Amino acid sequence: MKAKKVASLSLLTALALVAFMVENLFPPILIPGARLGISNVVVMLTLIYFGLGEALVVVAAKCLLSCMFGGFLQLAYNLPSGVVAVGCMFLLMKLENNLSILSISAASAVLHNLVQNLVFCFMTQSVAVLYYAPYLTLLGMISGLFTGFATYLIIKYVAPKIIKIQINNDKEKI
Amino acid sequence: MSANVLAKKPFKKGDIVVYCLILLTVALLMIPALHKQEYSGFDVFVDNKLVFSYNYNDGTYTAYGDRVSRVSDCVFNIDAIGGYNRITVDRASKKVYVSDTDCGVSKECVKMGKSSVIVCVPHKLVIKETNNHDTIKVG
Repeated sequence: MKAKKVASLSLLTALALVAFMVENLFPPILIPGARLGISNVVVMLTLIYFGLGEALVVVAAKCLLSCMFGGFLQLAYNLPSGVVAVGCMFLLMKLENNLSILSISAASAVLHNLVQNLVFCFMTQSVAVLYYAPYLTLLGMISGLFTGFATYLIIKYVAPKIIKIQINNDKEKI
Repeated sequence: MSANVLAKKPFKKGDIVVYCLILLTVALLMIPALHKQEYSGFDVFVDNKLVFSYNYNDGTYTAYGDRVSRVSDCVFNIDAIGGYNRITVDRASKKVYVSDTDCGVSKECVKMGKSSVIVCVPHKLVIKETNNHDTIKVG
């Protein structure tokens, strides 16, 4: 069971990393640094199916590996915001009876963007960078809704089938 | 945190609160952004040291140290740390932007366009628009 979990988590990390890298190849939407955050779908799925610790591991691994390709500065931008976003998702998922995955995703994407903006503000020692904050908040909401909807479709239609296949496989082995 | 609960509906009542809170944040953050005014000039910093300042009103500028050289009428080359940034001044609209740099593929500073603050992290370059150029003498 443990080996299986390690394998699953590494697959998820690889998926998040690939999504992140491919996304980086595209020019930013409207303002510098703005992205859709497709790797967030993977992180959310990890959080839902594995738990907080595992999701944090995937985020940390993704950030460390992406900094190998994109330089050390990437780590300073992505790690704090990634961790905060996962924390936000985790807390909001406690209210899952009243909140949909779309709004959880949107809220965490907004928080992710704002933390990244604060880090940028700190690194450049300039408050004026905060002028980007409202646009980043709005873009975070839009991209969060998008990734949240993608996650919704996956947990509704794709993941149950995968789990069913897995259970069948396990039964055959026994 | 079960997938079953989250997979049920793409919209729940509590969502309205979250969306309203986000839009409220946008509105609150907009307030200072709307106060953005026109600046009279800009300063260029390399590694936190002032190397260049420019006045839009009369087109005068001051270079500190030997990092800045004039390429043409409104184009300046800044020899930053580990590479160069070429800035272009648009006096008509009182704006400045980075027109070229050799910092690699991303070139975030070029993409930033005519922003009131332009940052090039790899070259430790910061361009800030300011209003305290009225007293600076011709350089």
